[in-house]
Amino acid sequence: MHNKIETELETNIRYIESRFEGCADAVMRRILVGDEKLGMYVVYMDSMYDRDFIDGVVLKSLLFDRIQLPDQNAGQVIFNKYLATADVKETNRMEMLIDEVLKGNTAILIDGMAKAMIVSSKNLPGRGVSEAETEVSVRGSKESFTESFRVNTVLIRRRIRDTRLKSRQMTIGVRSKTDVALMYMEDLVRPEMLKQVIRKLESFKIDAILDSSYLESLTEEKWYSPFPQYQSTERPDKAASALLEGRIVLVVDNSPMVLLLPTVFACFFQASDDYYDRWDAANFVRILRYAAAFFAVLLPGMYIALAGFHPEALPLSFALSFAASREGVPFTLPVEVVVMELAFELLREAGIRLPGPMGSTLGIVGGLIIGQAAVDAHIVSPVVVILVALTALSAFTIPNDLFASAFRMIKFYFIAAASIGGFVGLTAAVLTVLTHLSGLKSFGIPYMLPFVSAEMAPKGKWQDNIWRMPLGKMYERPYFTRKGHRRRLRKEKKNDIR
Amino acid sequence: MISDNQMISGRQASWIFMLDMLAAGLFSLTAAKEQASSLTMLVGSLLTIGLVLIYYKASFCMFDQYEKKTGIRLSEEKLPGILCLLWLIFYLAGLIWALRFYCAVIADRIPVAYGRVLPIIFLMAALIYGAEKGMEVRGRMSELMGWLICLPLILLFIFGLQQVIQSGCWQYLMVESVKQEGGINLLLMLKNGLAGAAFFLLSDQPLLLWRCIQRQNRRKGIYPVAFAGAGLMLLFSTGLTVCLLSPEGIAGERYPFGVVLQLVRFPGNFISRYDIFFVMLWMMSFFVFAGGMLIHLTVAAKGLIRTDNKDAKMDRKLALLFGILITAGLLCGCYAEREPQNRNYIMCMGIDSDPKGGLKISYGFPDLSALTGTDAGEAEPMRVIAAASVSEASELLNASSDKTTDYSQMPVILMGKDLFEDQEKRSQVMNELADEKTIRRTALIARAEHTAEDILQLDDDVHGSVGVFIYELCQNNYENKGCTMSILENFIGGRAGDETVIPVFENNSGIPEIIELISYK
Repeated sequence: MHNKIETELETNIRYIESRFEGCADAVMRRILVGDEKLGMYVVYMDSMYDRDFIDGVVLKSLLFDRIQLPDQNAGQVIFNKYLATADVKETNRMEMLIDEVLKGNTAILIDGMAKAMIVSSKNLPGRGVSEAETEVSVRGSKESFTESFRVNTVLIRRRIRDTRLKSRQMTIGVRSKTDVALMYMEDLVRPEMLKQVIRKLESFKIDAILDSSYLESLTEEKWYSPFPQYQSTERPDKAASALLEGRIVLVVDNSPMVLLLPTVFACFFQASDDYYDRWDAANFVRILRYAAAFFAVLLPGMYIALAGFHPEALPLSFALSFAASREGVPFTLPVEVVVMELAFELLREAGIRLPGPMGSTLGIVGGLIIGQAAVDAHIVSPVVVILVALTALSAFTIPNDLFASAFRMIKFYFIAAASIGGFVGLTAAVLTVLTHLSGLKSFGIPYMLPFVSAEMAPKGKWQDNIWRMPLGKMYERPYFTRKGHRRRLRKEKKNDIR
Repeated sequence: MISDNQMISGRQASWIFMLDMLAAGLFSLTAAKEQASSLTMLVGSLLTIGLVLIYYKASFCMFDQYEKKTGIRLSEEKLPGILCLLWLIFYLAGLIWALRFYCAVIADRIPVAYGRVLPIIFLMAALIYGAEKGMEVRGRMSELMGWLICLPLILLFIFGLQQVIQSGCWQYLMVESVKQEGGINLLLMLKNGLAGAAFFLLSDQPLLLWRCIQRQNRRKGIYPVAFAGAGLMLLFSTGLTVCLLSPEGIAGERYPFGVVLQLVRFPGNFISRYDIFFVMLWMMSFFVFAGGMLIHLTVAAKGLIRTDNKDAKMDRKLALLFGILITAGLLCGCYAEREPQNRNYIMCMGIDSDPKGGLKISYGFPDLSALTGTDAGEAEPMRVIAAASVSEASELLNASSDKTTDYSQMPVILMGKDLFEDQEKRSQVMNELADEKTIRRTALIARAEHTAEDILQLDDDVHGSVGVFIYELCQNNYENKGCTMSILENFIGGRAGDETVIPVFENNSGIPEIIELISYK
């Protein structure tokens, strides 16, 4: 195998051309420089490179400037003297050369030289930094991550201009060779956690990583859990905030979502605006979110249990309203609820797939017109329509879509349990879910922290969970941070803050 | 980082201990089937707590001495086979006893056709899932459950206390009242205290806590939190039960605390009776309590067989869970559900003495269209059924109706003059009403000037339902005169005295009207 670059240019060209055979997007060109004495070979991928820089600066200077080359070591002279860029490196391995070309860099081989020059010329097509769509903030930054790996790391670096922010880069995917950056604050991250993450990332081989969710699925501890064990975000400020809490950020090329780890249940209820709004308003909204999560997951099951099994717990007016609204409805209570919930899921799925204006039209048509028609036709009762709408509204209040999806799935489990066993069934189902949550860990951190294992974070554990303290009172970093580095705010001894 | 070493922290042990105490004591401590003075009840509770404390303290001292003398760490060494066998027998018996207790509470408080099997199947499914996760997860669960259970209980005490003060029932805890009751019944006190303690002793054994607590110096620290928390809650629950039900009322109930949960009113009127919710919360603490037994049972069995079962596969667990749930659904579960529109809600029950013997019971039904403002169809006309008892009348009504009789929403029970004056028959009817768990203990008791049937005949004339009309009439206009206090619980518990009045209704040109308030006795 031609693993090493040979001194004879023709041998190298043959090998490269054989590797790129059939790749119409690969540009390979022989040129002669230095009074046409010296043969060179340039390789790059069309439209992945910076045309202005390579053609207008690098090649122009080599081809048209007057170059004086010695008879010996001409290639090294070009490298040292005539390449009009500082961002260049050498390699003597053919595989690395090909990898770099496929990343968008330009490779230059020179006759008589057993190594190649890799000029950094990446200019991949992609969209620019745009507004966040799924994590909208009223007051905070509007920026969101893009599909460009480097832009994403820059967006984070822009917010933390500290050399203690480390970025360890690796390539994962035998065919995709996707760039993955593992970012962390050197002094805040728990070393054992960092080791664990690296070990997990190196523990598998896969043909391609097309999105950050691949990494999530491949490295999470319990694949069967409906609850996400990573937090994903499209907001650079959220990623920066996570880093400052001692968490690790995984940036994956081609994915506009970065992964934050470890994560706990309470993290999914935190939104960026919680920290930008005044603390009282932010707390009100956050507590509302917890209540919404409770309703999103339990409301249909509780309705079935109350109306179908335990009407004695209902006030008279409710019980009679339920009975009146169900007159003439052909389905049984559980079937009616499941049908309506599924109908809503259909609407939601269809709304996502359709383009923007059509999606909202579908919501109106489905929600209002079909819902009203179904009630008028006595196919469903108005109470169930209200219930499904409330449940959906509650689920949308949860800031993280993956987490909200988990709640939507579990809701059906609770509906089934309540349909079979009323409140006894529902309680047993809740117990199994709570047991599951209690057993769940994200990189060694119990998922339900600090509601459980609170001794792990003796100080400041309640400053940012169900509610958050005013910023001036949030002295401690959360439990993810390495011991001894938890203080983040000082009002006296200001020099002690690190 | 927390490892999977199956150890728990001192804090988690405190929570486990608290939940064990609540699971075992919340319903059982006040369950005296004969009349006991309020002081006997309270001292009985204290005795229970004291016995548990001594038992645990003594056990810990013993283990400490054993470790010091032999140099063997109990948390690290495998226990001898004979000890495992004893342990196995003890926990097996304990688990069966606990499950029987659990079923009895469910059957007493949730009056639906669950049967005995379904609640056990559901609990066991959750227990099997939880037990496999081991001690560490149980420790974390107990922390979660602790807050979920204790916060509603604290609210219950706050609103219950308010109710006790309003109704003036706090006198049952006063010395004068105790003197009148005849002071402390020593035998009953011992019986209650020992019976309660037996439950606690079945829960997490000190040996297990000793073995599982991560840091040895924390072992002694579990008492202050657990006893301050659960002990106080149990004492409060006993006090609340005594105050709201009276010692006489307690004697007639299997689980008196359940009745208290039905009587305490929370603001908001979202839920009309809270016993079901609190039983569900109690079920969560029971899960920790029984889960411990199952875990320890497994540990003992493993110790006996001397194998480490590491082959417990996820698919087997899931298959077992699904199997249980599907079997439960197919066997009995689905039949417990009744569609709301298929329930025949009784809005008012009139009970008259039949001149031919037995009872004449009139049933009033709601006019759903009028009460809910919908087009829910015509109301069912009032029905009169002659039967020997209330339950027989219900059966006859069910047999001649396309819906299921449902007493759960009944706001008013009306008695005819003849029945009211026949003390023996009245008492028999009251006992029967007490046994019918679906009837709310907060249902209003009233009397008709002549026959209850006369008043129920007005069902068509009054908007919606005569029962709702009478209930709202009393609530809106006569609350200060004590009418709304004449609830079923007062009469069942024997607390109705000369000062307890009930309204007397007469048909006044098609509208029920209160003509006087009379003493119940």
